[in-house]
Amino acid sequence: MRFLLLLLFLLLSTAPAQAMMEAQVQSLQPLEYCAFGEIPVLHEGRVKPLASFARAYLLAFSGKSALPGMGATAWLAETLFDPEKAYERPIFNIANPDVTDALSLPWREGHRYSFDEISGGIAKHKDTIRAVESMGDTQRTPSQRQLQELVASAAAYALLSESLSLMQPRFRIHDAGLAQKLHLPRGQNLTFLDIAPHEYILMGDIERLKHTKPADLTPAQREEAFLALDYTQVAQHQKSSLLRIVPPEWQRDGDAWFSPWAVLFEGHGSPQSTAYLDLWKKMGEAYANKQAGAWVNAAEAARGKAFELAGDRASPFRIRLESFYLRANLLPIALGLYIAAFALLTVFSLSGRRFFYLAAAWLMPLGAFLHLAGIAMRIIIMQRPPVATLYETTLFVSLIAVVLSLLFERKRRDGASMLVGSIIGAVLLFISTRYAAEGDTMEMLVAVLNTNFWLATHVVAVTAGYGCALVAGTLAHLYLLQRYFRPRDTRTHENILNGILAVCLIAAFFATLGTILGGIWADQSWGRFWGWDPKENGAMLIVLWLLWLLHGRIAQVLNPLNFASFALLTNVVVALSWFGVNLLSVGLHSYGFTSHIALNLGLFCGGEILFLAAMRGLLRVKA
Amino acid sequence: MQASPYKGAPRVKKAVQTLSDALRLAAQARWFFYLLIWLMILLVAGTISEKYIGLYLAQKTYFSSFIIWIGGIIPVPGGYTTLGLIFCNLLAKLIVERWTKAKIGTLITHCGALLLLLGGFLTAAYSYEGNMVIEEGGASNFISDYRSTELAVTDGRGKEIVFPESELKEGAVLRDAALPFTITIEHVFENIDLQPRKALLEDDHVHGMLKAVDMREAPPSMEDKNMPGVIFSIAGGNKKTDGSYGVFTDMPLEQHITAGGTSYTISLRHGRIILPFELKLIKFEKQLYPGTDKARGYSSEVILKDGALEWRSVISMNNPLRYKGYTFYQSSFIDRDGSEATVLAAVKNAGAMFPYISSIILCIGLLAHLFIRLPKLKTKRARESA
Repeated sequence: MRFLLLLLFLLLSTAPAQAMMEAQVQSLQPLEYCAFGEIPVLHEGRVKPLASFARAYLLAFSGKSALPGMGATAWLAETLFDPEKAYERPIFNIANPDVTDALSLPWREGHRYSFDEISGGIAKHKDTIRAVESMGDTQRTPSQRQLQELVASAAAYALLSESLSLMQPRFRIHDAGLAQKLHLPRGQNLTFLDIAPHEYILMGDIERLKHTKPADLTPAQREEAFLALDYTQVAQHQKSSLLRIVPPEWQRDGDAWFSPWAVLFEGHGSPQSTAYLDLWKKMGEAYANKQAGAWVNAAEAARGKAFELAGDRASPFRIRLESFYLRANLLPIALGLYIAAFALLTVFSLSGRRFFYLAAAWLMPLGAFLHLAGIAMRIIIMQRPPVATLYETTLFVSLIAVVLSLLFERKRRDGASMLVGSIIGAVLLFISTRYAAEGDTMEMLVAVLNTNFWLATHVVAVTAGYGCALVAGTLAHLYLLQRYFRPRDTRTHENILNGILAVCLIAAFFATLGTILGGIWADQSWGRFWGWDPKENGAMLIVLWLLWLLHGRIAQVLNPLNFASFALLTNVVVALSWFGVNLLSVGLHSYGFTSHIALNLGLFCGGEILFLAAMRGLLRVKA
Repeated sequence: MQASPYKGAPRVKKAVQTLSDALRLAAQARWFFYLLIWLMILLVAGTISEKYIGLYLAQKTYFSSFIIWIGGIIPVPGGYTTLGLIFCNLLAKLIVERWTKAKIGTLITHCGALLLLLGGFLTAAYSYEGNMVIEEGGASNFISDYRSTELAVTDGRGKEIVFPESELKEGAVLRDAALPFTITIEHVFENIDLQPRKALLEDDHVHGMLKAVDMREAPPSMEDKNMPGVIFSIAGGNKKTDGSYGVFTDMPLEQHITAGGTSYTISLRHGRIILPFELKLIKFEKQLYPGTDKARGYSSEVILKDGALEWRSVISMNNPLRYKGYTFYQSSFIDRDGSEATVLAAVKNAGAMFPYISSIILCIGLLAHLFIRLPKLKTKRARESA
């Protein structure tokens, strides 16, 4: 049996290995980006590793966290160090044929387009884009809005790719006289930084040449004119401020980090930062010459120097942990384990063979362990409690549900609780992957949420309540199915019913505690305990619903079947209060706004009600 | 039981019996069960309507009301009535119920819930909330309630005569011994819509702002940001000043009236509560996450002046200032061309301590109940499976 488990585990773990083999086609192997990916950068108000930065941008451009055969970090390295090649790589995702039509691009399977293609299209249809941009937000059609977003993405991409152009070999002087005049070597690769100190000579000459007809220029003068033109073009890149890799060194700079261009043009440089940027230049040279060893050495040196410069502003441990978190990708693995456990338990309940139960009983705790490890790493990396964004609530609620169901399974050992846990764990982790695809999952919090104490108490209690309530609701499904398929097994029926009652009690405890703590938080920060805000009402609805169920059972108003039927609807109540109130987008709590979930939410609630109606119908027919 | 020596005793006994029967009836869990259904319906309906009629109005209609008129015809119980009935049900239950060890958890929980409802009642009845706006370097000693208005008449020496909202009724004539004229309220608007006139009104009876701008009633604001206005007429002054005037809250222009040799300023402003102390804003600060426009936090450095006492304090998000029953919270800020003003939410609430006490009691009760109840659910199953 263990052998089989091992086999399954190996199967699961070979998926990343296959990706690695594909990636070897690339000049540098994935592992060699490790040091580069751990260099700290300031992005969206947070110091993070380049690997995380790369993932956020790649997601923004392509909607995927990796390209075929290429990780996000490798993609970032190419974009920064070899922009010409990167411009040809199809990374932009255009899912709407209207947009490709508007840019005269061919419609193709996979909808991937390169920057070269898109910038060509934009240049061709400048007037259209200008017209779209001058329209009001409400006037634009969805296609026009997508076109505008694409243009903005392309602009951001261009800025990103120009981040290091000041230290890239883009110039060469052939004329000996010109070289001498500018005090620069002849016939060698030169960077913008090499020429910058002699800019005044170059520009002074151009000022004088302005009045000469082009035909009258000597070859040396013509070369100088072209050099000046290229130089001013690269100088345009100074707007490129996305790659904030240089930590501030002076008090007056506060916590803002600088891009290489900002160091040059806004005067934040120092001997320290020059030494650091020299290491970046070395990385660029090693990358261009495909020297794997020199590349890794330069990247490691740059990483070390960056941490030295950053001092307290970046914790090497947490940056490296975050990079590891991204590479390990524990949550998708946990998702896979939950799905596998679900499949095994389904087979077990159909065949009754103990082996499948035992296999699932191994996979579920393993999944829960990886799940917990993922959340624990997030706590350490962000230095705050694990639940503050909608994405994090899905992670946490599913963990609570899985752990609770495993605790119950330990007592009951009939597979029912574990089945429930595997379903909730798999569904919620799947939903979380959709949120993870929206960008950096470790974003900074708006001012009112920026408090560790309340996040750790109120939000954790409320989400724990959600998790327990979902277990109760899902157990109720099982009860109805049991009543139909095994009508004579009254012992199991009563078992599950008691389980629902117990979980409802626990859920009611957490939901009540969380809601009241929320009220106290509101009292502390806004001056009122209760304001009938949608989010508060949503939390209160769950509390009332659970109290109603419990009192219905205690007062004997609800018979077991009715109790279970209404307990099933707990899932609907939780979904509405968790995701539904965000759709109203009113009130003080509307920071977690989401619009695309309306349809899914409707489908889920409709499905649950339909399931209940169908089961009740079937039970009535049978009786 | 022995026969009672008093004649009326059987009647008393019967009355006690009836009372206890009534209590027992009122204490039944099924009332709570049915009331909860209604409360949940109210909650869902009220929450959805918040999107359409705004938070404040929805709250007033559904939750802070005794009766809701569906379609204006059918009366149904509102939030206050429903919660009040639940309160009675709970109270009856706690009176009737015998305290046993098995029930201790639920009983404590119910006590906590009762206190929570009581606190809610106190807050609804006796709390006061408003705003205090202070500019950097400035000071303020009053809270303004943005939901009420008052008409203030200030004479040249700064002396104020204030007519509260309750007196601002259409047709009302306002007088004061210190004023050489009377004010007749012509129109009261809950929310105004300002329409500039094409040309100045050629009417000697109309003065000031009203000559250039027409005031009309607008539908109530969704965001609870009404701009109330009043049109009034002055009589008994002199020919030059007698006539109609218009004012609205936060009006940029002042309406001056010269009568009896003194110049008066009349303005409509939000209702004020004068505090026994004063807050002075030293500095308002907005912290951003580095390299972004996203706010990390706001804070106001203030000096509280009460008589001889001067006390420095920093009010920030989740960190209010409490003094003499008033609590000041960092609520918002106003940026006026570089000079910043802080907006503090100020609250005085008699029921403020109730949620804290009741939540502790509730949690203790729920925990006790969990520990009493959960093992039972388990042993029941164990007995069956054995």
